[in-house]
Amino acid sequence: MAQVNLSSQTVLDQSQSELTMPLSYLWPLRFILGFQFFTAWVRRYFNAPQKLDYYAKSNIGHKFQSFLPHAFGPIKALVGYLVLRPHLAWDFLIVFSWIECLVGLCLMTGTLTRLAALGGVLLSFGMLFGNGWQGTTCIDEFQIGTVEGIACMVFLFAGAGSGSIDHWIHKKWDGYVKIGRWSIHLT
Amino acid sequence: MTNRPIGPEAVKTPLEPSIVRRKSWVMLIIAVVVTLLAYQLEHHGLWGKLTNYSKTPQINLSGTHVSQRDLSLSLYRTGGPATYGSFVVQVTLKGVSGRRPWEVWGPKTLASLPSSALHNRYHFQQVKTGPWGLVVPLAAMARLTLPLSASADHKLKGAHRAEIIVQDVSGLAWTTVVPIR
Repeated sequence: MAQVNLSSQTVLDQSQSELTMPLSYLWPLRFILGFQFFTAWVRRYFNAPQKLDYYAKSNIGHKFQSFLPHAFGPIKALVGYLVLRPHLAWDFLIVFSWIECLVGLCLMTGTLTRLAALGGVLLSFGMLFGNGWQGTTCIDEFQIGTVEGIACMVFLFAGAGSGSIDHWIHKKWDGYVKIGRWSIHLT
Repeated sequence: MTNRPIGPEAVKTPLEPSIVRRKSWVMLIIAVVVTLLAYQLEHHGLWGKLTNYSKTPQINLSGTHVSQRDLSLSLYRTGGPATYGSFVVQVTLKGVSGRRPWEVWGPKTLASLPSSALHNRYHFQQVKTGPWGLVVPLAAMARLTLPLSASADHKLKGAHRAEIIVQDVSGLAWTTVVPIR
């Protein structure tokens, strides 16, 4: 009798932990997701610096303009506005690159994970509706945009789990910031 | 929202299963909506014919017009690989029903086009002259002014409309019919 009670208790614990605990298993996904954003920045600043040379033939402005023909509504308007003002477009692309760097580092280390994941969602979905129509042999930009954006969304809702700086931060601070009537969870 | 405690003890409070379930549903709905919307918009994956705009070059000629003195040709490349050009080697001007062209601009003529006859709209991706015609990168938009010879000008006089054919080196061709001003 006692044994039956014990096992039903275990089953209950198991189903509870299935609902709340498996965050820590997502560590590899979070790390690689961060790596993808971070290396976008590394490629521009270290591997191929001509991407950030305003006067180079194949800088990122060219890639950015190529979004234009089939980008989706608001993103198309933004790209169209910026490519007619190339210096402003350039500032935008530099800021975009540094946000990618910060989002990447924060996701890899699990620092302010929810805030970084929000950045990742905006970057990914922005790209998805900008160049999601590209990809010559398969529909890869669409696949990258959806998978990275939705993976970031999961971390936006769930946070980092145990293998993270946030886990350590939580010993000192719960990660909430109060702005007016909103309480925003950053970690 | 629920009244979660604020402060370090908030983190230690286990999540309510009902909240986890509700958040999962919200995430699933956002994921499905975003993915299907992008799939349909960008590739016509749900209905219509499946499309990949990046496969072969596509040049849009709308905005082109013909006057008695010249052909004002508008090129906007809307499709094909982002990494490589389309190569325009021939522009033909002809009557709508006639078989013989009124005027043909070949690769060498297009290659030696003066910069005053080539106006790009955008700064980054631009139509440029190459050794054999024009190099047209993805999303480049330009207006070319091609002067008509005296004989072509003469043939234009009786007609109301003209057909313009732009040919890529691969054999791809794009056509538009415009009224003569």
